[in-house]
Amino acid sequence: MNARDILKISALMAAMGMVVSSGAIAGDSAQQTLNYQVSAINEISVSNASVGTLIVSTATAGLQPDEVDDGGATSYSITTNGTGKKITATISEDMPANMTLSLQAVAPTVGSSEGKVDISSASGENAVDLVTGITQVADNEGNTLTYYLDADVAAGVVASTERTVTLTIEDGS
Amino acid sequence: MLKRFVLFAICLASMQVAQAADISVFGNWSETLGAADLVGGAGTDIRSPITSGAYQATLDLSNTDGAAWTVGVRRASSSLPTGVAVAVRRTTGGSGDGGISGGQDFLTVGANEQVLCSGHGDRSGIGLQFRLTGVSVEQGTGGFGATLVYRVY
Repeated sequence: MNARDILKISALMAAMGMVVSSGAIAGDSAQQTLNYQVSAINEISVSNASVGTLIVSTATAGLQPDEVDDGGATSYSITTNGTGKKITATISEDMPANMTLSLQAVAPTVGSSEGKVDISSASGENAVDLVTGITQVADNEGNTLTYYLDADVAAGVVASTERTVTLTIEDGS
Repeated sequence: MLKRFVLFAICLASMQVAQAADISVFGNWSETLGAADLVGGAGTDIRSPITSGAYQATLDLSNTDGAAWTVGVRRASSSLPTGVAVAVRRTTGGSGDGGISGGQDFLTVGANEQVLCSGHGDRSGIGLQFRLTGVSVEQGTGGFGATLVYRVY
C-alpha cells in the first residue's frame, strides 16, 4: 500500500467520522390522551312568559261563541342532543267545564308537529304531545306557539282566571 | 505503519456515538360538556372552540447532549366525530440550557406527523395547551377522544 492509498483510506474514514459525529439524534416518542364526555342536553325556553289574556266575547246568532287565539305571539327555542325526543305540554289546572284551551307548536328543523292539540285536561300526569321525532337539534328560529280558546254557551260567564302551561322535552314513545 | 495508525486514530477520535434523546409528556386533558356549555341556552349549540388551560400538559426533552432537535406530533388514534378537530400549541419555552422556537400557534393535529417545535439542548416543562373545535349537539352524547404521539428526532 503506497502513500496515495493511505491518503484515500484516511480521507474516507475521516468522512465517515464526520457523518457519525454530526450529533444526529435517535428518535423517541411519548403518548398523550385527550378525551371529552358529552352529557345529555335538553333545553327549551319560550320567548314570553305571558301570552296575555284570551277573551271569548263574540258570537254569531245561532252558533257557539267565536274561538279566539293569540295570533302566535310567542315562540320556543330548543336544544337537544338526544334522539327521538318530544315536546309535551301540561297545564297547571284543568280548564273549567265547557271551555277548551288548545295549543299548536311549530316543529323545529327536525321533528313533526301534532298540530292543534287540546290541552284543557293536561294537568298532573296527563301531559299531551305537541311535537315528536326531535333529534339532535339546536333551533331558535320561528318555532311559533299559538293558543286557542273556545267556550260553549254552557260555560256561562267565566271570571278571568290564569293557567300556567309547561313545555317539557321528554323521551319519545 | 505509524502513519496509518495515526490517521486511523484521528478518525476514531472524531467519531461520536449517536445521541438518544428522550421525550416525556406529562398531563392529559379531559372535559365534560353539558347544558352549561351551550353558547346561549336553549336554541344554541355547544360553544366552540373549547380550550384547555394554558399549562394543561408539559413536555420534557432530555439526554440531548446539547444537540439540535425537532418535536413532531401526530394523532395516533381517534374517536372524534366528523367535524371535530384537536389542536395543540406550546405556551411556554420550558427551562434549561439551549433554546426553543416555533409551536406557539395552534397546530391542528392529524394522522400525519407535523413539526410542533424545535430547539437545542435539554428543556423541561414546556407548556402545552389544547383546543377542540366543531363539537355540536348534532353529534349526540357519549365519550370521544384522541391519542397524540410526540416524537423527538
